[in-house]
Amino acid sequence: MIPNLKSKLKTMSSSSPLDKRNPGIQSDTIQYPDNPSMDNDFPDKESLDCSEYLVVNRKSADSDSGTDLKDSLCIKKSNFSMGNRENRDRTLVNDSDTRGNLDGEVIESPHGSFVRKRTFYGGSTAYGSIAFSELLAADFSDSKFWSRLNRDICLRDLVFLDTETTGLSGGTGTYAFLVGLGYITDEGLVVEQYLMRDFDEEYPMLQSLLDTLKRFKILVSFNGKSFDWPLLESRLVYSRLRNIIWEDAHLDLLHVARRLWGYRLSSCSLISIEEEILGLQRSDDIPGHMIPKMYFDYLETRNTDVMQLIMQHNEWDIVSMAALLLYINRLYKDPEGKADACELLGIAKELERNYRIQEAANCYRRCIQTAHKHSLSVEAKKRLAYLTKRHHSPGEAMHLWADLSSEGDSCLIFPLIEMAKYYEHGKKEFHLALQCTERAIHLAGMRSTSSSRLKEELLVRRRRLINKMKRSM
Amino acid sequence: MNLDQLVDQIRNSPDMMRNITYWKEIEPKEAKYGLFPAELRQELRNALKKKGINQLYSHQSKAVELSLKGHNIAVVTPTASGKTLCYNLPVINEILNNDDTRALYLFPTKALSQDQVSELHEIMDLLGHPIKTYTYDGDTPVSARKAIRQAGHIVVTNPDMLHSGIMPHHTKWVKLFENLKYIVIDEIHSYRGVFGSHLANVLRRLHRICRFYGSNPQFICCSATIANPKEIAERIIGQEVKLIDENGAPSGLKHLIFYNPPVVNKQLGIRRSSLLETKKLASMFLLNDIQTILFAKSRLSVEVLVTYLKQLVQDKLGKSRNVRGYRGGYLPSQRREIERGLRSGEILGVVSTNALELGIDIGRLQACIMCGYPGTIASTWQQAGRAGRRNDTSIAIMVASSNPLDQYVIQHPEFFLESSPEHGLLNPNNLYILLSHIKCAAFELPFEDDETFDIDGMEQILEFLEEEKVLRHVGNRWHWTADNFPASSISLRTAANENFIIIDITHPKHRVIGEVDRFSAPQLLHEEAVYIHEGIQYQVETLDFEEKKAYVRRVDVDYYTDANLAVTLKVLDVFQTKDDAGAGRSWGDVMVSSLVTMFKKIKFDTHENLGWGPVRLPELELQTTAYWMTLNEVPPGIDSQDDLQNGLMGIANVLGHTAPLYLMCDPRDIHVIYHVKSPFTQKPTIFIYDSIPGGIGFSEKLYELHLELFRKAREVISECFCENGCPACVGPAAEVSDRGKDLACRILGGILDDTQSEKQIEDNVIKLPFG
Repeated sequence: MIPNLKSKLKTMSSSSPLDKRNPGIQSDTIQYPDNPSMDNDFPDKESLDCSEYLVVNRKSADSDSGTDLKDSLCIKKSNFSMGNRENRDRTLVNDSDTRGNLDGEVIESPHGSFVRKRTFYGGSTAYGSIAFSELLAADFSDSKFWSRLNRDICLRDLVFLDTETTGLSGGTGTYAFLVGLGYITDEGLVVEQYLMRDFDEEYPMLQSLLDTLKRFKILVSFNGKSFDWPLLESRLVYSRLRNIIWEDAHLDLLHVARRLWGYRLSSCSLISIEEEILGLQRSDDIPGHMIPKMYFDYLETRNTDVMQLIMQHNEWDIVSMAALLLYINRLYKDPEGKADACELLGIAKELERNYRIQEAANCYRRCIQTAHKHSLSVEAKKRLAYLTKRHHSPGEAMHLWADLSSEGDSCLIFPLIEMAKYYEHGKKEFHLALQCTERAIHLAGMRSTSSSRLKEELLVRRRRLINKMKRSM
Repeated sequence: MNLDQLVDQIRNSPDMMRNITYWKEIEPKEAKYGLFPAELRQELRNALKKKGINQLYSHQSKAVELSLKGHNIAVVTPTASGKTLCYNLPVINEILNNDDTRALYLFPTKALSQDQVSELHEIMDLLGHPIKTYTYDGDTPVSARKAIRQAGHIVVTNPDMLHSGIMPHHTKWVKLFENLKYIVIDEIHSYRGVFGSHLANVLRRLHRICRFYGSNPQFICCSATIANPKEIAERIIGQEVKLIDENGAPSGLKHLIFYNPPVVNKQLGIRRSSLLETKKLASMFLLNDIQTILFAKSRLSVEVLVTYLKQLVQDKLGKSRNVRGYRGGYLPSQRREIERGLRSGEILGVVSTNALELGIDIGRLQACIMCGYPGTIASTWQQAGRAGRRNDTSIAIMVASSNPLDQYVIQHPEFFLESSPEHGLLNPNNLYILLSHIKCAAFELPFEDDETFDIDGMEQILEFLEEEKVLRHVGNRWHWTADNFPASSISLRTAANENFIIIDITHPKHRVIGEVDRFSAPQLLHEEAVYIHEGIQYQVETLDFEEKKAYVRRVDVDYYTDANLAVTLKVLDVFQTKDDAGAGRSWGDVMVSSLVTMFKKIKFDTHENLGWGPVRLPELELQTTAYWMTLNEVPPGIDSQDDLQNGLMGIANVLGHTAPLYLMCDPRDIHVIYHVKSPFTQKPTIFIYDSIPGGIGFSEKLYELHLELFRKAREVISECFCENGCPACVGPAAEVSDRGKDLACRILGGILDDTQSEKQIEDNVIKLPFG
């Protein structure tokens, strides 16, 4: 059907015009971060008490496992070696040789094998400014309002999740080759990683992963609502495994973090939160976008060093999430004592959203007191003013409007309008209202960006005020 | 004057009639009806009756009946024959039978799909049954997408969205794929060439996904009149279809007129410009307030005509009614506005490229003028069909340009009437296209070892992709193993998917006014080019080739620009070759490099050359397939290199226009170039290459035709009325010398090897004296 298929294919190697448009295919050379000692399972020794950090089940993977599967693999591969291809290392039999000797346990199931690795963080482990003993003791009562979950957090219900994938743009051809879970036991945090060492290990891995996930009531992730979970869902559908519906039992820490630090951080990535908020510095970490290529490299070369770097990265993410959750909880427990101005603003908004007016007002006030950044205090004043206006404290609101409009170089129009409303409808002091309106008209006239609708409204207000003044005279 | 009076006026004007080579009155046709098929539910019949439809046309009835019986069908329906019922009825019927039923509607353009949804809603309202129909395309808000995936009974989309937005995420569309009962492909004739070859592969992928979810959908295809609707439908969907081609819809009286512009210089074989003649004819209709559609073949002619006619309408009619342009590169909102204007009658005239050929609902127009032969018989009928839907008198005029194909058709009306419309050619196994889709398919679902994807040699391809490190074989499956999203880098429409955008910087607030594909950009958007958009002239100030942006500013000048293209061709691989007595033939892979070197400024109206300027832009490369003919011996009478050059040029000019007759493709789909001494063959050679990367199957076909091509070329040249050569045959004498015709005929004699007997040839053998 296709004439000269072979020779045509030859001319179409990676340099064909089609692939030029496919930059992903051209394999960049992978540069791994220098890691002087691969034996250090966790790189940042300073911040960790490694004595408590141990690997459970560190068992070499050369067990006599999955003979059926391996046999079938060998048959398949030898079939293919007839097709004029180079002799690659396809005849190797042993799993640990073919797939690399990785930390963790090779789990066998009727559907094949995969690797599971458990790592344990005990109570006296410290993580930046967070000690895990604190995690065990933390009080998550009244956390529902900020977590937006369907219940208050109970530590034992939580499972942290982070995936490493073969691509970043999603779609059914993207696999989650490594899934890290974290959960809390009496002794501390357990990180449990599920790894498929090749595509044929996906099904048994997902099966076992699901069994574990089902034990928990709340999923905690970082950006998992739009990335990790939909991707896993897609893998489950493909594997025809039953999906778990989390809905409002899924806590995406990215969303919580954005509400707290969106004003302050240019990027709300987990890494920048670690650095800026938790005071941590990862060393020898790998950039996330390299991970797919590194996994493909592992598949090709079975270089386990590469895989270990990825697993380390994943583990770090899980531990980080736990620390972050604790940190956030601490802020919300005692905002006026623990939070800075930026965090206070976020907390106040969240309180306001939950109709906890008094607490919200307090946070806004505290934010105004402590804010160094002008824009932050303007925002807090504005929100506080609207809040107090709505909740029958027009005097305080008025004070804030006046404050906002009189601040040195202020050319804000909305406080003037609010003041005009207050004078006109509340106090019936029309001349004061008119003064504010005139000033607002003046400012709107100077600004090229003000809408014509705003200007028109102001003129209407002025006309009305003049009429009212005439009538009352 | 109304149209009937105007027709009489034309008939009584000797000046007009002199140029009219052919006039056919197509008699009005009565409607033919069929029964409501027994399977059609009562509530649906009632809804139709409420809509005023008391019986179905015969083709509708048959289509519904066959669909409901479980057959794939292809319905051939001319414009305005009520084709939507052919697919809406079986689909709605099935949804009424089982609420889980899902259907997928594919339209080639977004505009069409929007029309269809509003039509469906109308039936739904009459039914009073909630059938959820949604358009799912690039414009669908993200917030609405989830609901559509879960709940849409009928998902209306286009092949591009199916390819890059739906199938790569099939796990989110479980409900659709598990319950998919019908796939409707409208305007299936428009899937020729590249687009069709892509679609066939998209559907191969769709079949795999449906199999995975356990569904086996049925197809309903609709096509305009082409020669092989059944074949093209079967090639695209990869399954057998039943053809329904008897049209039961009524039609009004239609005048079909061929108009050949008068000769203004017999010696040079020059006719009056078809653009100017079109303008003249159009003004006659427009000034009589007759709503008219004009078809022009290039963006440039569209814009030139809009400029002319806008002026005319403004001068004579005031600003109340309007003339607009319509072509690719206009923004969607602009297009919608023009379509609405045509339906409401607010727009009196529209000048379009073939973009409006498809069934976009623009209401009924009375007159249609085609500036130049649209290239295929099928297109001509489609365009002519734009005028006169239902029962009124209508008129369609084709104005021939001076190119050989136009002249051939206009002087041989029997060719137009007697030959069947073209075959749609497509090549789902174009290796570039195929490989792209195998990648996408592997991304969607890993390939099993025994899967064939409907091709031979699948295993070789999978192994190749494994070597390219995009697939990995493990267990008995081939898994996608690259971190990119293959569908996002593959466009179904063009060979090159990176468009250049055009930014108007006249005002401080810059705005995007249109876009142009990568291969056309150097020709249309080089610096100093005059780019005409909606009849407004813009001059290109800077072209940022890297960023694919052209910055333009409004100007008002009396010329337009036309760029020269220099092309070099290198043979990469020969697939087949054969040497005959006069000429050899081969086909294989070639690399074509094109470079825009300079541009000319051409004055409006007089079309005189006002000057030129250089263009400095990078070369573009195209790897494709080509057919080539090598001349073995230089025939007698060709005495110099110049003679050979002029003769070959003449033949190349003719071939460029006649080869499409055999290939049944658009003339723009192929290119002809000649080498007096080809570096590859070392002989005089004429190459015909596909303008699509990887080729679309033309070269192989041309290889089979070979001498037939040159026989036809000779027929065209010898029948031409000109003396030494004209644009209608070998090209103007100024280009091919005043012996142009003779030289071309001599070379053709050599190629065809039949001007003299074998004996004489032996006596007269002239070894190549040069080269």
